[in-house]
Amino acid sequence: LKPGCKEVIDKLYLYLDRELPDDEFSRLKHHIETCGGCLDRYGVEAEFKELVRRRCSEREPHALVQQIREALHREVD
Amino acid sequence: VARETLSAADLERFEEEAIPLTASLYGAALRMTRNPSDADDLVQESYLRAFRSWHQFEPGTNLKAWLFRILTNLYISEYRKKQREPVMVPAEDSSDFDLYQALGGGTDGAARSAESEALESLLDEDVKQALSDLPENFRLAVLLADVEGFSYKEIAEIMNVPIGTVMSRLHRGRKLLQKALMKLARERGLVKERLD
Repeated sequence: LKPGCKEVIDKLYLYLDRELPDDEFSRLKHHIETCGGCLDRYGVEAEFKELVRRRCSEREPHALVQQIREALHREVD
Repeated sequence: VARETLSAADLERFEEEAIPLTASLYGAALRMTRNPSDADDLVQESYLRAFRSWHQFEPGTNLKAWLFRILTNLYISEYRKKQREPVMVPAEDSSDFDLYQALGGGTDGAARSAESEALESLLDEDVKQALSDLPENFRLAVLLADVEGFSYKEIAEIMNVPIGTVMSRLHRGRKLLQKALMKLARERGLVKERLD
């Protein structure tokens, strides 16, 4: 491990989730972009996060939306 | 408590702003209840409650987070007790699971391409099922962060827990999900076994 790798490993989720202050984010970004191992590790986690988002998203439930609209309209009748 | 009167104009604005969020709320309800019929009821009831409290919503604040808070509270108070969920502790500790290592990380780019190959071959239903199988607290944290893109602060408000708790649930939830999906990918023969 190079200096800086441990910080990336420890804070990877905070980095990935954009939860770090700007200066820390920039410091980690610089390391990740210049360290092959950390870039690969970051890529794995970023791809996984994106996989979960993409695979677990649902389409609009049309029949349910119609029921909801009808129920809402009864509230103001 | 007397309910404030809601007008047709209120309804029009509520529908315009809240209805486009149904896909997100329905997805969350499905993962929460793990039952399409309960998910329908939970979402519909959440929308009714939200509309009845519409005067309490502060314009300019995050409507999606507000609706998710209503949905989550309703799920916890009305639906969770119906679920026969055993004690919510995973059988094994996965907090040290390292997807990067599991994929053969170490050579530049190796882990990432192994991941693409293995996990991309899984079906949507596999990933949804694996997420649904997580213990509830971890499942909700991963859902809110990764599927819905909420910040830690928003998740803390939705789940009514401190930010530190959000971070630890998210950490464990992701590790559990990664481990489960890698196991599934191995069983399907989608991962090349490492030789070491």
